[in-house]
Amino acid sequence: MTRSPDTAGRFRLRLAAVLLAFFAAGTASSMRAADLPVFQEGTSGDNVCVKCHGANEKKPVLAIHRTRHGAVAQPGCQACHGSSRAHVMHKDDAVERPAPDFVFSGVNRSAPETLNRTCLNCHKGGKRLLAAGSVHPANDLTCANCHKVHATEDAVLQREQQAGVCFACHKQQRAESLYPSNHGFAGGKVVCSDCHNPHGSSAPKLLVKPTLNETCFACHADKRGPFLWEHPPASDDCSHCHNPHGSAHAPLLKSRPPWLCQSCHAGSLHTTPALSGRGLPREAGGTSPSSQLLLRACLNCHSAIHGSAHPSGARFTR
Amino acid sequence: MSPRRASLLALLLAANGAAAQVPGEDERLAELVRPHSRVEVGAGATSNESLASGRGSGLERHYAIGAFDLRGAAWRYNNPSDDGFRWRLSGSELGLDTRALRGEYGKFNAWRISAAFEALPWRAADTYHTPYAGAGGARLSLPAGWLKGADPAALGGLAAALNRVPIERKRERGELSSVVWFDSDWEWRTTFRNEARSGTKLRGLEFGSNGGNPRSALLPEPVDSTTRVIETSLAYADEEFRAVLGWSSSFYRAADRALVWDNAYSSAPWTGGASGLPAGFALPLGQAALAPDNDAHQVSLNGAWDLSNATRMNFSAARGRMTQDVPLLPYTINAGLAATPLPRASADAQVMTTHLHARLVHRVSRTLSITGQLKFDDRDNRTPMAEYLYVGGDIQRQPLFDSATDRQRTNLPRSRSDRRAMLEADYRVMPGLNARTGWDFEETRRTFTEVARTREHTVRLDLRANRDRFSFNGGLAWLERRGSEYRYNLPYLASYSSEAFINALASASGCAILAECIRVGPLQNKFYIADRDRLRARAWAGYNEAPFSASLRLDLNRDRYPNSPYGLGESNQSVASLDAGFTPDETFSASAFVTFDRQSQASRTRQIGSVNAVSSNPLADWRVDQGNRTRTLGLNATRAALAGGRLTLSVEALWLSSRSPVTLAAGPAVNPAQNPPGALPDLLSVSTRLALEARYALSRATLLKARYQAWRQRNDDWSLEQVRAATLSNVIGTLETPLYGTTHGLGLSVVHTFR
Repeated sequence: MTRSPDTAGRFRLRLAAVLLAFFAAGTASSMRAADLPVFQEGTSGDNVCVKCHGANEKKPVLAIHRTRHGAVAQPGCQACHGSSRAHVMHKDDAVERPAPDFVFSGVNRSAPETLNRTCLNCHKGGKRLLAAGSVHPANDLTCANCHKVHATEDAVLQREQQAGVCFACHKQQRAESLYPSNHGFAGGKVVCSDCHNPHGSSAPKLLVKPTLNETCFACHADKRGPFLWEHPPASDDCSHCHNPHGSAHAPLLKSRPPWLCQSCHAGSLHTTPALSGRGLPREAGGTSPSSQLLLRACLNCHSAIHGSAHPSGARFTR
Repeated sequence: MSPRRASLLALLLAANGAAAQVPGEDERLAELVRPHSRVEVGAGATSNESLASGRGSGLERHYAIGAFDLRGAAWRYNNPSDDGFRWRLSGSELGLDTRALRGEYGKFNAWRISAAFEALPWRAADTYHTPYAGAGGARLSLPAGWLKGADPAALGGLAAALNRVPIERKRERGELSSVVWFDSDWEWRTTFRNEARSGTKLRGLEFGSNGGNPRSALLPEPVDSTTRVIETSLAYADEEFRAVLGWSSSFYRAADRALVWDNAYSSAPWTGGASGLPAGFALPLGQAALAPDNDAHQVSLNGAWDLSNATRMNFSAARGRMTQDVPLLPYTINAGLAATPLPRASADAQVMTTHLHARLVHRVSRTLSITGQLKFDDRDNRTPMAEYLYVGGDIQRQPLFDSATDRQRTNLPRSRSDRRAMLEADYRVMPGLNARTGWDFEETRRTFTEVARTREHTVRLDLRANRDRFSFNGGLAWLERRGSEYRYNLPYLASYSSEAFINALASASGCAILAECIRVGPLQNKFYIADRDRLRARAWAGYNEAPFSASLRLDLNRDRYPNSPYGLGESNQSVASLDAGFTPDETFSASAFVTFDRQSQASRTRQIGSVNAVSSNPLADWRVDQGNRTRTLGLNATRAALAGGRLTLSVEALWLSSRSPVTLAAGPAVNPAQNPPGALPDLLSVSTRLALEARYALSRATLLKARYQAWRQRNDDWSLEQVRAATLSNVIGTLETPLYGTTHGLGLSVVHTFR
């Protein structure tokens, strides 16, 4: 598109004004609204429904045809919303039109179990297999709480946007995902569903594998072993030392070494010193710089902390 | 039609002839109902390549912006001849190391194949320095003419030899999967995934620890491995019964079995003593094992059965095997020290896993439902036990078996099994108000562990309420874990297998009962097997009435270890989050959140001064309190339909401040070198991110996108600050500095949308 100098000047002025008024109230005219096509009767399919809902962008029902749900002759509107006879046949304008049989959001939302059953009629297998009695439906959440089936893009199925859907409820995890040491949620490189199956699972915390460690090993296969020398808390449960969503202490540690290690290890020799500011570098006010405190602390030497395959790896140094 | 649109249309038609345009389609209606495709091209730049923009951002000084999302589909609306074929190709961040490509092709309800590629870079450190060359390989070398010394301060030319080496790695993940629906009841899925990892990570590598004289360095360990995963499953589903029979195999393969590096130190620290070296003994190399190749296989059966309209059952069963059989490295790589043969050629490590799970949900009435659950998890470690010699970092002479040595060790194949039961009742007190109460029981049995069995009981109560614009959800849980007798020395005595050594220890300690007196802190209980009382509370309150929404969430977790005089004594976390949203119309939305997270942990330990001493002096006790206070603030706003409907502006801001104080209190008998303790500065991390984006519609199909981002990082970390190359007497310094800096980034791109 080319613009004349006058047009460009006006554009710059308009842009500056709009930027200043960014947070101001009021509604500017919308190109999309002005150019909306008007649905014309006579087409096939769900024409009963789209007589009213066709061109209404607030309920963009036609956009469902850009999704998998708009693939073939099934499902139609009534497959999910019920026959909704009273809603369809309503003629008395003086009385409010009854809601459809199944309403998925808003004040007229139908019973959660009814709505979930509607979806599970078709989506009964796969990841939904263990949905019955699972924590989300048990808390009256429905499929539509997370999925937007009418939208062209269902945010929870987009890796870049999925966390935002989950974080709408899981506030602590949202905050932790921003911590200095985090699992790399930015940009959707690691997403909630990599580790959790929100539909239902036999594992704690809806994990995708039967245990936490097996879930972690799906990506961190180098930690899987089995090692000749196992570090008991590591083979027992990764979360003994790590918080998978985020932490102030890298890498995702629950607290800072050496004290994280010392909370278990209080044997003889060098495991019990009370390491303090005296162990800082002299330039930082210390008097006896300590290799058990600085850099990686205990891991300066005991680095094979998830287990060692070396015959002399009993102390996880090799 | 422009050549560009013509070429894109040709691409659509070539990929799927069925997606051809329907003659006579109404153009405006088609805009609503036909899938849209999108192509984005542009360029961006950042002010520097600092890690401030994120360790996994992949941003560079100058980069290309490339993304596309191409979709082809038959048009159902007003098109009864739709054959159900669909395809989609998409790519994102194509100009960066974070690029991703995805594609799928299939026929609705019949079959689908899909492929994906994704790159995940990770920049771990950009200020690391080392005198070693060869980063990324399995052999690290010191520069020619290196002068060995007894400690870093005595290493000739260390400071001059330090070179900056970026520590970074990358994962490249490719996946190919298919699904076939044979009819409405049967489904067959297969996935093949290949993940390649390359780069470096930092690892502390020790040259030895004889006589309390460890010498080590943080060196770049090579990362060069692939993990291949194959998963397939056959699923059946009808109205009442659903089941999936699955198989998965995972193969981890590393290019390198060991890392070998030049020894930077002389043998001076390790001469003399029973296991010491003769003066001047040559110690040219060090060697450490890398993560070993390993396999994991699992077969599983999961199912759900609707026994009646009121009763549903879920069940799961899985049996797995994890194996690792890499040939063992020799005790030492240095000639003249490796005199003892290994007891086995390989670990032949094997772990069998078993998982069983059943859940029954029964609706007793319209207001009451009951859920019961049983679960069994077993990790059976079948790795053969053998006696090995501990040779600290390739520098020690090897003792004779059955001599009085603490270097004769037996590997302990630890196993664990869990049994869980759960019973829960959910009762609808009145419309909009539900109460749920439950009881959980978990018994864990471990071998070669101080506590053979722990049992944990949980009672909990949850309430949830909805009324008009308000909703509330709250819960309270009390967990009590108790274990069998805490046998402090059990793993020690099982692993230190020289009888002569154990007898000598007992004699030196004057203890008649070995298990009570050898080489552990008094009553120091490990937190993950110790008796524990846990209180967990949460509350969520929400208000939602257009255009406003608000919610408040509180989480509290309090752990107490009532029978742990030493070790972790308490751990607390409380989190409060406040969210607010304002959406007056479809052209404007704004939201904000703030989160306060407060954590604290307290541990107590007794300092023990010599090898075998069991201190009974409480004046040698010390206590550490670790805290963390993190505040997070987020702001998001979008304003659309500006400039005559052409302009959309959005802003996103995130701010985080994390402060972690550590305070130590030591008794008067604690080693004077640490008593009284010097204060440690707080660990601090403050990060700010601001993103401004403008989208201007040049036409109905084309928009111009401009995105400005700024990242600011400030970190104070005493573990890195002021640590020079020779600050420490036994670890070579790395000159790493905490992340500090600001990065600005600007990207401009054009987005074209078409059908």
